[in-house]
Formats: sequence, C-alpha cells, structure tokens
Amino acid sequence: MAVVEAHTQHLSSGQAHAHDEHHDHHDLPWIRKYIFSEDHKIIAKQYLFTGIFWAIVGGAMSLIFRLQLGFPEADISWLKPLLGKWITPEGKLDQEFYLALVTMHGTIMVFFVLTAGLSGTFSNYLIPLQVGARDMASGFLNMLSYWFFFLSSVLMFISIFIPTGPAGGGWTIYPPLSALPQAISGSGAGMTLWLISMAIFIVSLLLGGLNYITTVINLRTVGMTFWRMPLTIWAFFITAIIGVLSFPVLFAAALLLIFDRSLDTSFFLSDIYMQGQALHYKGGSPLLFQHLFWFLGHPEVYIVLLPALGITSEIISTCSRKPIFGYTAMVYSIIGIAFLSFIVWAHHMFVSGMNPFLGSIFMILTLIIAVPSAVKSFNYIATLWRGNIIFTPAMLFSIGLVSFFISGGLTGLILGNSAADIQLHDTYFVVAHFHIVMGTASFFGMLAGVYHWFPKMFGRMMDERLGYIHFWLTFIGAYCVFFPMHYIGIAGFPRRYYLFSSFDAFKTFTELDAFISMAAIFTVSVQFIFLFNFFYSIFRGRRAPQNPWKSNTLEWTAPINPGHGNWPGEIPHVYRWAYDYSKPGAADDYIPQNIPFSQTPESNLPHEKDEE
Amino acid sequence: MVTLLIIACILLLVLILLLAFRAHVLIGIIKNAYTGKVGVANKINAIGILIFFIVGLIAFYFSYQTAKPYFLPEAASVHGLATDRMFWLSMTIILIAFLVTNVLLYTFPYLYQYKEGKRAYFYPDNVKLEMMWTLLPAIVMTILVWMGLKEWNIIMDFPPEEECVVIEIMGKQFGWHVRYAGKDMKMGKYSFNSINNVNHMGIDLSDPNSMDDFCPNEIHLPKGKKILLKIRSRDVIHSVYLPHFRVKMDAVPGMATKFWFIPTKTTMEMRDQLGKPDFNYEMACTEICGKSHFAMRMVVVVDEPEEFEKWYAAQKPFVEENASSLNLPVKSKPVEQKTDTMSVAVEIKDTVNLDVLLNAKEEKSVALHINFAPNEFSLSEEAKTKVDEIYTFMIKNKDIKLEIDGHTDNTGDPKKNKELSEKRAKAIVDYLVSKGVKKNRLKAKGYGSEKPLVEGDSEQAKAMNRRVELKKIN
Ligand code: HEM
Ligand SMILES: [Cu+2]
Ligand SMILES: [Cu+2]
Repeated sequence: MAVVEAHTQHLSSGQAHAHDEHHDHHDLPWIRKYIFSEDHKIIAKQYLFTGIFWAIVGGAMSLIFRLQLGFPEADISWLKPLLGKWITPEGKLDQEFYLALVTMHGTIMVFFVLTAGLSGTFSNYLIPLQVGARDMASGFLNMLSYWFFFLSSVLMFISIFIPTGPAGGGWTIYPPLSALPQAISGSGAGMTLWLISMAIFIVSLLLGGLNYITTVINLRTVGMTFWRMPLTIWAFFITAIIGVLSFPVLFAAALLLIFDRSLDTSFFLSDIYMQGQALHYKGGSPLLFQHLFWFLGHPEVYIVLLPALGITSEIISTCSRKPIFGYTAMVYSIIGIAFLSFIVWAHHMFVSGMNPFLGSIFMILTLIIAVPSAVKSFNYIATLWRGNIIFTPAMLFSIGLVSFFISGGLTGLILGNSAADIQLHDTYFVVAHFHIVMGTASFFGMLAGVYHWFPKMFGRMMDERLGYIHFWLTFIGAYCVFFPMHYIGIAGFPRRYYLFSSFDAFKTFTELDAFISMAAIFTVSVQFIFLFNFFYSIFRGRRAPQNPWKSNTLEWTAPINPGHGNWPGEIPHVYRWAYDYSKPGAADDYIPQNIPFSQTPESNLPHEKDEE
Repeated sequence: MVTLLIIACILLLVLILLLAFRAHVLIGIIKNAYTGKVGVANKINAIGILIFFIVGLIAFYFSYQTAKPYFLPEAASVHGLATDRMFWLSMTIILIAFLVTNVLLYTFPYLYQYKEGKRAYFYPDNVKLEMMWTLLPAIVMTILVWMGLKEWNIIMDFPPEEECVVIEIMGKQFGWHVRYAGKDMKMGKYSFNSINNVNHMGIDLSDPNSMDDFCPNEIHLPKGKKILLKIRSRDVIHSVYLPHFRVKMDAVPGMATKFWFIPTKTTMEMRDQLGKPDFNYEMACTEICGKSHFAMRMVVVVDEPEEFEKWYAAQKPFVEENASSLNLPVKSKPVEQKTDTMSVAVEIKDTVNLDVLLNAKEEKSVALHINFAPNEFSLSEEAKTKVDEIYTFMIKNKDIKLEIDGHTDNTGDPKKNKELSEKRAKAIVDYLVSKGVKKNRLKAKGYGSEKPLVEGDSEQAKAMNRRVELKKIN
C-alpha cells in the first residue's frame, strides 16, 4: 500500500505545479486536495494507481502458478524468501497455496484491476469532462467510493499474508468449499477477509455507479443530448447501470455465506460429512449460491468489457479520422448486451445439476447475445475502412482489443452450446476463452485508454516509441500465452489443476505448458516497459499540446492541466455529435463538438442547423 | 556468485537502456515538443499489422497440426460421437467467421494507413449494410442453437432406470466411491449420518437392499448398454468427468444429480486402436474441491457385456467385505468374537508409514496402536520403541509439527476416558521432548471415546479404537 501512497504524493507535486500555473486553486488543505479529494480527476488517478498496483500483484501471482504448471518438476526453493512456508521442504509450491494464488489472481484481475481500475479510472476521469460538467454529481460520495475501494484493497491485501493463506476456493467461491474452514485452509480467516473486502468493494462500486449515472443524466452541458454523447459515455453509463443492478445480488450471496460460516445457518449447505464428522447443516442448496453468484458474475464480464469497448470506439474513430460507423447501432448494441447480460447467467451452470430445461433456455439466450456483439465487431472494422489511420499506441491497442474480442467471442459460441459445453466446461478451453475475450481484451482497452488520455491526465506525452515496442511485445506475447490454451482445453485438461501428470489422459502437452509459461513470463516482463514509460513521462514526458490527437470530444477543449471545475470560464456548449471527422467540405479533418453549425456552413449536411 | 553476476549484468543492461532512452528523449525535446506529425513509424506499424497476421496464421496452422492428435480424445460413447461432430461443425463455422473478419481487420489498417493530404471517407452509417450483418449472425446463431438443442435434449432425456446399469458415484475429499446394486439390482438407501471410516458412502445397513450392494475400486461398464450414473457428494462440490465418454456432471452435497450414456468401445478395443497397451479410461474431478482436486483419479474399465456379467457376479458385497469392522451379524461369514477381558488383548499390527504425513494429499492422520496398561499412562518399554519411530521421523523432517491425539475405547466413564487419553498423549509428548524434540513442535490432545475409528462394541472394534493418532499441523 505504501506504493500507492507514494505515487499519490509524487503526483501531487506535479499537480501543485500545474495549479500554480493556472491560478485556479481553491484554498483547500493539501490533504483534501490530493488524498481525500473530491475532484473527479484526482479520484480517477487514485483508481488508476491502485489499479496498476493490483495489476502487478495479480500478474506476479499468475507467474508463480504458471511456473508450477509449466515446470512442475522444478525446484523453486529460491522463491522461499517471497513465499515462506508455502514452499514445501522439497522445494515445491504448496498445493493449497496454488489454489489460493489462482483464486486471488482471478479476484484481483476481475474486480480490482478491470472493474475498479478500469471503470473507476475512466468513468471518473471522462464522464464530467466529456459531458461538460464541473465535477461528479456528488464529489463527496465519489471520494467515499474511492476510499471504500481502498479499504477493501487493504483487507484483500492483508489476506494474502495471513498464516492460513488467502481464500482458495476459486474466484467463484462456491460453497461448501468456501464455507467450511476444514475443507481448505483458505476458507478460514482468508475467506472471511475476502467476503468482508468484497462487501466493502460493492459499497464502493454502488457509490461510484450511482454517481456516474446521476452525472450523465443530470449534468450534461447545454446541447449534449443523449444522442450526442460519445460512445465512451454511453458505455460507462450503461456499465454503471449494470453494476448497480447486479452487484447487490453478490452482496446478498456474500452475506448469506457469511451467515452460513459464522451463524451456523444452512442457506447453501446440506448433508455434509467432513473429517470424521457429520455436520448439522440441513436443507441448504449449493446451487442457490451459484445462481446468485452468476447473476452478478455474467453481467460482471460486461462490466469489465463495455468500458473497454467504449474507449476503443472513441480511439478507433479518432485515429481513423472517420466517424464511428453505425453510432446508433453501437448504442443499441450496448443496451442490448446490457439487457441480455442479465438473462444468460446459467450458461455457467449447464452441468451443475440444475434442471436440463433451464439449460435449453439459457443456451438460446446466450447465443442471442452474440448478435449485438457481432454487430459491434463489424462496426469497428467498417470504421477502419477507407480511413486515414494514424497508429498511435492507443490505436494499436484498440485494434488489438478488437482482434481479441473477435477471437474470444467466437469461442463463446461453442461454450454457449450446452451440449458442446459438457466436454469443455471447466477445462482450459474456458480459461482460454475468458482470458482472451474478457481479460486481455479489457486489459488492452485499459492500456489504450491510458495512452490516449495520458496527455489530458498529466499534461505530458508518453513516449510513443516505447509505446510501440510495448504494444508489439504484449500483443504477440498475449496470443502466445492464451491461444495455445485452446488446444489444451480441447484435449480435455481441467482447470484449477496443480499438476496434470496424475492422469494418463492429461500427460500430453508438457512442452506446450512450458511454452505458455515462458510466454507468460515474457509478457508480464514487457509490462515494465509500460510502467517505466508511464512513470517517467509523468515527470519528464514532453509537454502535451491541448488537443494532441485532434479529437472532437469536450475534454480537449479544457486547459491542458484542467483545474478544479475543469473549465476556467463557462462550460462549452455542444452543437453536434462527437464524430464529425473528415467531413466533406470542412477545412480541417475534425470539427469539435463545441463548434456550432453556424460556423461551418461549408460542411453542414442538409438537416444540420443549430437549434438555438 | 553466478546469481550475483546475473544481477550485475541485468543492472548494467537496465542502466544502459535508461541512458539510451534519456538521450533519445533529450534529443526529442531539443528537436521540438510533441508535434503530432505522422512519421515513418506509422508505416512500420501498418506493415507490422499485416506481418503479424500472416505469421500468426502460419503459426496457427502449424501449432494446430502438432496439437491435433491430442484433441478431443477418441470419443467412446454414443452421444460423445454426436457432440464431437457438432463441435467440429461449430468450429468450422467460427473458423470461417474468424478468417473473414480477421482478413478485414488486419488488411484495412495496412490499406488505409495515414497518407499526407488524404481525407478519410465520411461514412457514418448504412442501414442496409447493418441490417445485413445483424441478420447474418442471427441466422448462424439460429442454426447453432437448433443443433445444440437437438443434441442436448437427446442427452438429457433419461431412459427408465430399469433399462440401465445403475452406478452410484460419490465424491469426497479426495477420491471417489462407487456402488453397484448387487444381485438384487436394487440399491440400498443411504444417509450421510451413517458415514464413518468404514462405511464411506453412508450405506443404510438396515435396508435389506443394501446387503448385496458392492463397492469396487474401479468402475466397470458393459459396452453398448445404457449406463446411468447417480451422482452425489458427501462434503464439497466435485464433478464427475469422464473425458473419453464426454460425460461431466457435478457431484453436489445434499442433491442427487445424474447422467446417462452408452459406452461404445471396450478398454481392449481402445488399447488396440490407440496402440497403447496400457491405456485406461479415467475418471477425474472438474470442480475445484480443495488441496488434491487434481488427483481424484479412478480407473474405468469397459468390458464386453459377458465379461461384465462375470465381473459383476464375482464382486463381494460391501457388508461381507467389511463385516469385521462394521460389526454386523452377517450370516454368510460369522466373525469370531474374542472376549478377552484384558484391554490389551487384541493385538493390532501397525504397518505404519509415517512418511504419508509428509506428502499427504489429504488431511491425513496416522493411527498407531501403542499399548498402555489399563488405567495407566506411563509408557512401557514396548510402547517406547513405537514412540521412537515417531522420534526418528521428527528428526528426519525438521519442519514437521505434530499433534498427538489420544483415543480410548468406549468402556467406562467417558469423562475419565478423556482425561486418561490426554495424559497418555502428554506422556508421549514428554518422552519425545525428553529425547530432544522441541516442545513447540508437539501438541497433545485427548479425545477419550469421542471419536471412535469404527463403531461397535466388539473387542476387535475396541482394540481398533484404542489408539494414538498423529496429525501434521502447521
Ligand atoms: C499474464 C497474464 C495472465 C496469465 C499468464 C494468466 C494465467 C491464468 C491461468 C493459467 C489460469 C488458470 C489457472 C488454473 O485454472 O489452475 C488463470 C485463471 C484466471 N485468470 Fe488469469 N492470467 C493472466 C491474466 C488475467 C487477466 C488480465 C484476467 C482478467 C480477467 C485474468 C482472470 C483470471 C480468472 C478470472 C481466472 C480464474 C480463476 C479461478 O479459476 O478461480 N487473468 N489465469
Ligand atoms: Cu457468462
Ligand atoms: Cu473433487
């Protein structure tokens, strides 16, 4: 945590500087300005730094268990200084700790990096700036939202170091495994901390989400109608709605699980005999938990992905110098995906023992959701067609995202088919699928966002050449890590396995597993190029011009280092949509949203005139 | 030394890179601040995208060819053949979609890379085109759904139980237990309350139908017959996974689940076909269930129906096999009941290997039968030789910590038993400490008669229950 604090402090010195230049600072004590700040821009950066911190932790964890999977024979005593007693005397990774690492890796990546780190950063940063608001609807609640997240992070982080180890039942924490400390040591204090941390996380997310929704509905500047909002805002807006509707269900599930664990209730437990004892639980249903979990869990993958898609839409359009193709269709497909995401959850449970008829229904609904997703991909590609494409690092990562979104989305069609899923469920095919479509795709969206909005956030440019190197190595590395996992999955290898050699059927592919592990080490290592570039550029990067990408959205009309309140004078009015790129007749190849039609008679389409 | 050298090299490398980068940036700053000019890098990236695609496709093709032999291990069930066909059909469809979209995605950036003075084509939408590419995936999805539904409904349409060979599978941490209905073809009832160290599945022994049920160590299946798996779990969720039969179904505590299928190839046929004389079908667990989730293996054998009948007939009922420890009045094989009054009368040979504690795949405790005189808690010489075994074990394994639990049989006052058992456990600990084992590595506990190893009042049972258990602690 110290890391985060330190960053925040560094950041503050850079910021103070900026403030002096613009003479717009209010007389707030230092701590209220940079630590307990109510300014959405500071809060966004706090989310970003915490997210980066968690990404390092989650990535490091994946390396440790990839070592085990790729080189199960290796002696890893040299990790003892780091892992202590979790390395057995024979120099092997402890079996339960393997599961704990997988669990924490999943939890951290999904919730702390790609929900809080991604949504928290960009929703906070961009919503007020792009809709034309001085700040979030409630700065105070926004601040609380971050600090609840911080508290939840601290608890989750502590849980990694307790003697019984962190939660180890998988990020899906299915009871009874997660309910009974006798079942696995991670289900002791580690699980308690996991549940409390997640409960606090949900509070944070709800505070943040309600703020995003309110801000978008109430604080749009004059002329910013819903149908003129950039797709980023649509994505953040709909994501927040999904979050607010689905996370409380996880809260309920977590609460009932807490009751089962500490108050001896039987919501999820029944007929259990463990370690020589028949337990008293009676009449609970483990399946109930799964329904509750996935009622959040599936929307969650869209909570992770939609903001990344929104960011990509914006970047692809800007860097192709073309309007996003099919803006209306893009909006409707976001809404469609959001709606459908609530009614497909049981595709994670085809072979859980639930009624097979439900399986049929959920298969149909699941395959329907593929349609709006396909539309989005086609529209991205159509946007590239006959563009005038500038490959900024952000653009490259956006193209990478579309590539992963297609690759991973397609395998979803196979998994959504309940009959085919019988064999593939809980194998590496699933691991490959979700890492590509949700993990890597969203990660690329996040990186694209950082590269694209870095000049706005820090008033400086990141180094482009390092950005290119970072992109290419990451892009190649990520495909090398996750693509071969399909093969392993089709061969039937189950996930969450410490070792495969215990089965004849899973003995093949040891070399491929080693290859994947090396690719993973490589891919994670090259992220340091990014980290270096990021921190270096905060202090030493070249000064950014006001609108480096020649973009149309409102944030680029604000000062290079926007102060509190974002625009020094009046908030600009909006007269057009965000995508007037390369409009025929226009002098320049972009017309920002705040330029009235009256100033651009040469390029106006017949129906375009100012309403005022 | 080598490590130091490596670290030094890495540091040096990092330093050089840093300096180079700093120089590069400084030059950039001297030249100008950020200009936004599109340079030669744009061209390189555009070409890079194209090369990535081509090289990627080639890598895809070759890696696919190498991996292919292991794909979808040879299907050996009727529905498995059908779902495999469907899998490959869907795969073909998505492969086509993959190729079409990717060709466009990777060539457009190359074709439409930035050119000075060029204008992009202002093309905000085209309703007809969008309609088309909404409908197209919708049609493809409909086909996929229809195929999947058909197959799913066949798989989930269970035949009547009488037509099937019924096998009960129960998962536990960490292993499987299976039960067949025996000669009467009727499976006895079960209850999790009846589970103990012998009766792992909690078979209801008062149910006459249970009497001929048998619980083999491997699953046998007759080829070409309908098999019905009745699946349950006694602790956490597990999942029955038979990769070759394309069978997967969760085992859930408190909820019975099932799956049915028809095996199509005997183990022998499969060995011939694959040219692997030691091939075996296997059952694995695919729901995370704890420490040894990865090691829940059970061998499955598919026989010709006649062989299966023979095997089936040769199996001994569970109650018969375990009559002594279950303490049941079994007609076919009466147990000799010893009635010695001395509490040490029944000798039990411990062939204990303490090393199992080291690499224990499950929470393991080892039972030792160390004899004490009645109501005594000091160690006899004979007892000491046994404790010495513990001593050497602890010296060999410096990190291990043990809990020593005393247990008595159920004769006499439970409270006194508990005290006695605790004193005995303490005596062992003291003896070990006296020989030089650190005190913090040991813990003594007494359970009296609370946790019998086996139920019953027979002397055999009592002797089994009078014991010391060693548990590894952290
Ligand atoms: C270098 C990057 C990464 C590598 C090498 C990696 C590797 C893996 C592997 C091999 C597993 C399966 C382990 C097992 O089943 O035994 C896994 C699980 C998982 N990963 Fe990653 N991963 C990476 C990044 C990510 C990202 C960005 C996400 C974000 C969504 C993510 C989310 C998950 C989740 C949710 C699980 C499932 C955890 C569970 O089974 O409970 N991973 N990862
Ligand atoms: Cu889902
Ligand atoms: Cu299991």
